[in-house]
Amino acid sequence: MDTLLSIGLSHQVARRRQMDVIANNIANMSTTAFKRENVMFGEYIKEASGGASKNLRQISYVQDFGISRNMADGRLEHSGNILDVALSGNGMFQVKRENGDIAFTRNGHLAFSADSTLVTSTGQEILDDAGKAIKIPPTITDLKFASDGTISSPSTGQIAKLGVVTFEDITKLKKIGNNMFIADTPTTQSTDFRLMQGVIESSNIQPIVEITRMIAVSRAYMMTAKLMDRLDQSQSRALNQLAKVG
Amino acid sequence: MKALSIAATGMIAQQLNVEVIANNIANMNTTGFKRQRAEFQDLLYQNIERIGSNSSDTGTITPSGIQVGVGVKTGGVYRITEQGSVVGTENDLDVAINGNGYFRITLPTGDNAYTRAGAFQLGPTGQIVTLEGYIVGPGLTIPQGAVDIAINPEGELLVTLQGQITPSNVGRLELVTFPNPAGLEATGNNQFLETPASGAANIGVPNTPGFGALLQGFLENSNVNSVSEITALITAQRAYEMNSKVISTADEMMSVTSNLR
Repeated sequence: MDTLLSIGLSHQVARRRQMDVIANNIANMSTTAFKRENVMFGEYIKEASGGASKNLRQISYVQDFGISRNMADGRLEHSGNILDVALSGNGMFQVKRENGDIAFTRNGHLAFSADSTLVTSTGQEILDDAGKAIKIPPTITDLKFASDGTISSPSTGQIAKLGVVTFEDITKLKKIGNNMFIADTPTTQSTDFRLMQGVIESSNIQPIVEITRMIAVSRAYMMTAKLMDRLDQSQSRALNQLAKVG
Repeated sequence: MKALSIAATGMIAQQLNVEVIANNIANMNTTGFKRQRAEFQDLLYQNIERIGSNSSDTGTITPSGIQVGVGVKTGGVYRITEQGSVVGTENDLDVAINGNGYFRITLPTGDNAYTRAGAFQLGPTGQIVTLEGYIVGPGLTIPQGAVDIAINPEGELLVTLQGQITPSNVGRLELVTFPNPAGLEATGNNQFLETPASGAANIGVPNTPGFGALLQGFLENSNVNSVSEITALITAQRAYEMNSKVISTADEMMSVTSNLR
């Protein structure tokens, strides 16, 4: 009997985590280039002791064993800012973190730092295809970003080319907040992308999917609660009736 | 249950989003106003099971791990410096900037402020001033008895005096650009202040490379697009509602738990 309770508990713990992940997806509906996440569940099998055959003694619990990320492109929104660029297709920008490490982002909202270096909205330098910071001469005000990432201006010609990289295994990326990812896997320059100026990539959250999932999660959670409640009732009934027989 | 606090961050973010949109709509007819946009970023992630941690003693690793985010935060509210539409006013002292740059004005404190609202007036001594009465850089004075004032795209102020045929040049309006105009600090009254983020002011001549041309008799309207603001408002409101739905669902789940016994 107690096994049933703990199976129910494993289900509830897993569903609660799924609820947290859905809440995070919904909260980040307007986050630039946010990628939706989903919890993957697995079976955790434990054998109970006893003399019955092995098949009958197997108890399966639920376990959340991983988060999968949907890396599909987000909605593209027009912003009209010349320093907003969005990627469509495969690839990520590289930014230099404060500790010198490289992080990756698809957030193309850029700005100039006070010394005219191109930086992200959190102030980190964005890197070109050779891994160096991009300095724009301060007098230039009519920057153009070509679809292959080339930065130019009509008055000075080509200035630099934004580095856009891809990964061998995109699932190995780790989120660190601020729209950034870090990776241990090697990167290669991507060719399979298009860059657009004056556009921002929004999140790829589909509200309808998240809300239906949320409803399903809360119903499943309630059903398990009901099950555990019933179990508790039948246990107490059994105890009462057994006592009467005696 | 983190869902409650996560959804709360979502509601706070959307509330700010609505405020920014409301300000844009309120300033739809403000001269020289540049619309703003709120940018959001995801908050920290909690590593419940680290990516790449061992899943067995033979060295297999978990490929994805469990990282649960804890919500959203506002990364910044930035100004989109797109050119606003230019509207004719037929007023000699209305000047619009077509292109880059700001007018420099001197505040009563002696500090400089910058504006794109070129609705100028004449001060008591004939100086060109803003609607607040602050002197416009470099401080030009229209002589008494002027019958015609012309400002050419290069900013030269040509004044025809009573009884004269050829106009005389009394000076040139200057324009100022910044390496990072989005880093300017807005102080209200269409004025901006220089900050470390904007970089140092770069004073120059209108209608030269990097500087916009001046248009006399025109004013620059705001660059707010009412249709896109209203659709953004609808989206923000719905997103706010959905976050509140998350809170009520999380609450329901919690109440089920507490009603178990």
